[in-house]
Amino acid sequence: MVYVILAAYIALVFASSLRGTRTIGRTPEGYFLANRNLTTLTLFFTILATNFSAYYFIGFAGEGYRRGYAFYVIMALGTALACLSFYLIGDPVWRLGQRHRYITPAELIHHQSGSRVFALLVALVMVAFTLPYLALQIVGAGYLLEVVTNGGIPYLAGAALLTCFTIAYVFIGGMTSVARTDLKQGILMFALMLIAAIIISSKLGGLPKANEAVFARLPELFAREGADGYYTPAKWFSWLVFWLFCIPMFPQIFMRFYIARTLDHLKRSAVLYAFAPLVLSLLPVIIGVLGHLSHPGLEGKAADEILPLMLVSHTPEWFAALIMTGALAAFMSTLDSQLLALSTITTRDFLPLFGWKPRALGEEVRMGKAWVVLFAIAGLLIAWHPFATIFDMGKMAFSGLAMLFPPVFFLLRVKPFPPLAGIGAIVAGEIGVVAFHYGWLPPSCCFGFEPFIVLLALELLICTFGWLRAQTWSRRNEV
Amino acid sequence: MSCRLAKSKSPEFVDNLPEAQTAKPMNRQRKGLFWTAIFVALFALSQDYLFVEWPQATTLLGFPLWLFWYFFVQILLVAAIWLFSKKFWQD
Repeated sequence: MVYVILAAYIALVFASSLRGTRTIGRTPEGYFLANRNLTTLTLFFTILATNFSAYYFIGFAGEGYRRGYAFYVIMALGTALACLSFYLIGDPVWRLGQRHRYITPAELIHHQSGSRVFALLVALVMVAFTLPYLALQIVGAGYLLEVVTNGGIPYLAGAALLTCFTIAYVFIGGMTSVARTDLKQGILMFALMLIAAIIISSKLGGLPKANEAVFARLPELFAREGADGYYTPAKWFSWLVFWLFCIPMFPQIFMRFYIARTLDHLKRSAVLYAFAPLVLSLLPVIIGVLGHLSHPGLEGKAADEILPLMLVSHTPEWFAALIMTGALAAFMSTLDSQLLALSTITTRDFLPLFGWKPRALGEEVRMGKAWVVLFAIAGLLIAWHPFATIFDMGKMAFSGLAMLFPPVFFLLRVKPFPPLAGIGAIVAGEIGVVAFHYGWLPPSCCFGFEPFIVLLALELLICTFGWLRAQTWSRRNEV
Repeated sequence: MSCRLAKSKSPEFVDNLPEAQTAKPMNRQRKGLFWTAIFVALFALSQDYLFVEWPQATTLLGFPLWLFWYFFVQILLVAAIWLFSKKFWQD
């Protein structure tokens, strides 16, 4: 039954994503940006599905199990606050993209700052920190397929199978396929999660009764600071502001700001984006918290398995398989966008540095497709022997990308902004991220805040200093 | 128009803010400050440990009381971003 559901799902998504993509995907703008023609609902779902990766299914329930309901606020309100980035970054990116037909983030940075080094540095950071995040999707997909099929499809074979499937529809249809698939996968994964939460809580006697039972055993899961007092005021502050800086700097999200048909579609997507996590983030966290009633005592990484465990315990086998298919949809909807974003950046920003120039219109698209395959292979190789745990890989990737926010924001919103300040800020921020990750800098020097907050503050200082200096110079020149 | 990373070092175009955002700058600046204050205030509401200590108990649907506070804050945020997109964020 599990195999039938998986095969049916793959066939359905594949077939529907390819409808009408042949003519759209021939030009670079058509293949990479769906001709900048997405309307509110498709735009909203493609941003949401791209952003809610496998971590939504596996990580949210696991953290709900470990930390309790406090984790819900971090993800729901934190993600909702990121809707402000649709205005702070998305608005100027959309306007300038319409005017100058930019396709990659680096094209915009170069054109607006005049600095090729600044632009290439942004592109390099985007590729370097998205690659481990991309691999993380493949790792998750492999683990999940192994669990769903009871070991019938081993980890690496499952990871390779789903990666090949994702390559296929990205390869053929580009952004149009990705957006259409995201719309369907987004609706599917959230509808299935809602049904799962309803079934599981009703099997446990209804939500109020089940929550009361958990509260009687583990009241700390209902505490505002989370279990073990994890969310101290400094950590609470850090995590709530983090997503605002991080989400718009994912290259796959940044490039989605280009593709809204009109500014109105971008605005409406921002409002929907603020609202959606209010409900969506709660569902897996409820399942995680109620998991203590059926599977008490899970510790560490074992808690990440709480969602499949709860599904197997409380729902029929076919339904558990269906929900896990929703989780696979989450993996793929993030992976496809990352593959497309990285191939676009490589084809348009890096290859010309080595003397490559497309001789015909279709050649650039063909090269982009080749890089989709190469990045997928690179992701599979990382997934073969992951260099860190899923959480650590994710945290490092997110922190590295968030460091791009201050210089990009200053470039778009605060003028005059010298590129040197942007380059300095990025270099300082990224060195800091690596230093904290490998323990060369102790977390104790952050006064209880997460290291990325201290680094973002440092970058803001550098950018402000650069802006003030540039202002002084321009006034002197005027005189 | 091609927007590849050209070899020239000086920018061909350095775009300023869109026209709609530069019209009546003083008035717009004041409105910008107003909306900044609104969003800062909303963020301050999320730092509830500064002004309230929640009771350790469950309420409606078995959820803790403070969770409803956050539902409320997020609904306020949605309303604020909707109004912001209508009143300030112009085409």
